[in-house]
Amino acid sequence: MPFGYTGQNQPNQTVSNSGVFSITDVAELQSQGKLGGSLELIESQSVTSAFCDFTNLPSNYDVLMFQIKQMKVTTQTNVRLRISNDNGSSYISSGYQYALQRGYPSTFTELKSTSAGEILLGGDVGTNAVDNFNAYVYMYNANNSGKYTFFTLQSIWGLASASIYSLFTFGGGVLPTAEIHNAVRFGEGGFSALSGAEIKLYGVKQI
Amino acid sequence: MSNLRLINETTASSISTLNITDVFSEKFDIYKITITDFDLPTATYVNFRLINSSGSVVTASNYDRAGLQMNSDSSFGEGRSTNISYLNYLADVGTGVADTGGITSYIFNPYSSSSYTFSISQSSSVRTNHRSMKNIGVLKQTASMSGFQILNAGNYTFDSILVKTYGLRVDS
Repeated sequence: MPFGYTGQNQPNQTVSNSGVFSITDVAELQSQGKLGGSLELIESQSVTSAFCDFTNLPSNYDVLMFQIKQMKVTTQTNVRLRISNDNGSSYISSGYQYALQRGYPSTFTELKSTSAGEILLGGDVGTNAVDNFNAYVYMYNANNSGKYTFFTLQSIWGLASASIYSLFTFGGGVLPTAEIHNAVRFGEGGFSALSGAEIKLYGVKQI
Repeated sequence: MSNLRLINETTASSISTLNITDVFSEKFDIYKITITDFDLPTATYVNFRLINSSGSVVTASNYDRAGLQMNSDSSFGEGRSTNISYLNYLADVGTGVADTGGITSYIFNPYSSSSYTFSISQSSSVRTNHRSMKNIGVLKQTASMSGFQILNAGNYTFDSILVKTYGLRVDS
């Protein structure tokens, strides 16, 4: 059965289009996960001189994605995250593991730990106006009490004071405790409020 | 409305390979695949192959790959191969459902019959301790692909597996 938008000339849809959605069409497409886009904006935050906290993480996604831009630090340092099992009343401060590759034009470095107080996202981030930290961070299975909560990430930022204008990390981390985690806190150093950040949280749709 | 479109969601259990068919088409050039459950009885690597438009799994030694395995407890390892029979290592995972983290892959131009099929992927999992992997891969065949296969290096039976496939819509 074809579905459609009025005024559209058959764009690339997963189901063929011709006509106007009926209530039945909407119900059928929704049940297939094909109604609307599949990257669903959950929350946007812009903070100054504060941690950037996301609480009440939705329970209907296996995969969440944080889009970070303009993350700024108060002093040259690393940026990190912690997670919570009590919806942000407290954030877990031990037991994290991570493994990241960091690189910049002259040096590649392995960053790793099996007993960290946070998951490292990147560093050293500078305090110059052009040094802001930007990243995509995926979070997996946070809503599953039988699984650990995992992260993958890819980032880029600057350290202009050292004449380094692009550094990257990629890799991931885990809190190897099988329980539901329902909040995330982004901060700097070990572990304090950011100078600023703009972060969007998306859910990657599932049926 | 975002331009990411869910095409297929598949769960399975007690299988050694999972074939996802008829997901690549002329409607999208770029696909995103997320795998959030890949529970195996023995520690091993999760791998990937393509399925051609005739429905046959491409097992020819026409794949190249390169990747970096990032270990939280030991030195990182580079992996590279040419002319192998699978696309790349997606993840290095231990036993037990809690160890299965997440894999996100992007597949480029699989349906095109004039381009090779390329992939990039990134994963996070646990095998005793945390493992991250970043990989690139290519199938050096200018043939149209309609789907893909998830397998593992030891040919073990997946206790459970969950795979979601999305298309990145581009309006013409």
